[in-house]
Amino acid sequence: MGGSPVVEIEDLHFFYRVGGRKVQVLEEVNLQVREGEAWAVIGPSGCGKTTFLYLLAGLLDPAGGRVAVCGSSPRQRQREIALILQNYGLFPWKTVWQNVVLGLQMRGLPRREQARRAEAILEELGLAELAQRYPEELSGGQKQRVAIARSLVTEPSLLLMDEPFSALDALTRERLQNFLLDLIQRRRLATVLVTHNIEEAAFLGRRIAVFSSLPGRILEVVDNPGMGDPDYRATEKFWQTVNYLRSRLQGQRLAS
Amino acid sequence: MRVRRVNRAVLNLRQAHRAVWHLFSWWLNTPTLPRPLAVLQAFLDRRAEEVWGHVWVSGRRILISLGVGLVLGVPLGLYLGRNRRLDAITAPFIHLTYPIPKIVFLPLLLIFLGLGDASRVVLITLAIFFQILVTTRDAARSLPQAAIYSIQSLGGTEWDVYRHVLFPYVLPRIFTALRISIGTAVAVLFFAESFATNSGLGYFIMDSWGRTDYERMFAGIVAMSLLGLTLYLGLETLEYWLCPWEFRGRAR
Repeated sequence: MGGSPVVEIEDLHFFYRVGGRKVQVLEEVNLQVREGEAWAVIGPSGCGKTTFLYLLAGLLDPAGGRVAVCGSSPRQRQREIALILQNYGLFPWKTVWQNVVLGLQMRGLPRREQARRAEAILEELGLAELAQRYPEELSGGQKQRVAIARSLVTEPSLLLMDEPFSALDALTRERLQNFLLDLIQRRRLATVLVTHNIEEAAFLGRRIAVFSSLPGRILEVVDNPGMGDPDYRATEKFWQTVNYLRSRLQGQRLAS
Repeated sequence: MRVRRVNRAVLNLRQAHRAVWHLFSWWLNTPTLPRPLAVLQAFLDRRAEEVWGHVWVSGRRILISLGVGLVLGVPLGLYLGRNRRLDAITAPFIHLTYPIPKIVFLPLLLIFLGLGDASRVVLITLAIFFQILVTTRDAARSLPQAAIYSIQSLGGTEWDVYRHVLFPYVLPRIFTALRISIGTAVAVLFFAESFATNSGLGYFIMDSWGRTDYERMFAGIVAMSLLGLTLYLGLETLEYWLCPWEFRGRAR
């Protein structure tokens, strides 16, 4: 895939303090995400995947090592990073429209430009009719699409997602996975998706980082060249990858 | 929708109330409980003009107190809720002063601030300020970290956290606090106006009582109740306009 690195992670360490005790969460994580590259991070629950994502988003600072997004610290590059939180992170007191323009508003864009971009993205994601609704008035799948619209409207260089589809039913999930695949491919957007769903990782990760249980380390990076085909799920290669990932994760669980 | 339902409930209640009142005054047949019609007359004849002047004085006192209480209590509450360290320092002070009944300060306030409006407004403000402060602070404390991460990841500054997240999150609960505060405010108002003054509904009621003009006294009581009711309905309407999301989306 080539391209310059969007994310560079070298020897990343992180720990939480729980009542004066240090709990090592991430250990010696090394990773590079190049332009247009889609990564999936998979691991047992509680392995520090979400923490890893927050470090990439600049919401937390590393305890050791280096994280760089487009050459600088994530805090400095926050406006080029979009993060979709696990429960979508939509604000219930803002309408779909207000949620979507929020990032543009805080960047100080002129009102007309805000409206132009928001209209375009809502149209593209099939949300135009829902613009005046509040999040409480939407279904799970609609909420997720609004969250995607809100993060893409700022035209980020890096898209981070935390369990984006875990709260959805199987059919909606697959439909949205295809939808997301199409979006990131058309934009050649660098993405890092954190999930515990093996099929999701295999479908949306060109490269898949398998994390160990606590403290999280990268056990293996699985190359997944078949990714990118909307009908990938129907191929034998897909299920081979899924099975391989499953054996990797199960082995991990037994070992720990 | 909800406002209309409340209005209807109030009407029904008022009719029932009037019927009971009528029955009691007929049965007891004493001048201390005049018939509703007599009170209505007192409202409408020349003594009525007097009532409206006092309603205006009392209403103004309450509105200023609510305004000052909000302007001081809300920002401070938001700030304390967001800053753990300052919160920890001020919490014991608030904890100790919150339960003190503020009305006991009336004599002191009258000495320091004189017999005019200021002492009474300050007393009401004191009483409701703490209610607003504590509610706002506690609500702000309970803001989920995910909401803060959400706005920060969109490129929001600390100011944006207050403006787009913390304030709207807390607003419905400020309205709840205000609804409770209105009851307190009217009660404190009555007390503050019943002493060393010649204006306000509290004075009007006490004065009528002293003159044993019970119709006039009841006119004052009704006016005071209407004042509380009007404030309450005003708040409901304001909440409906300012927090529309609270009233929608429950259908699904």
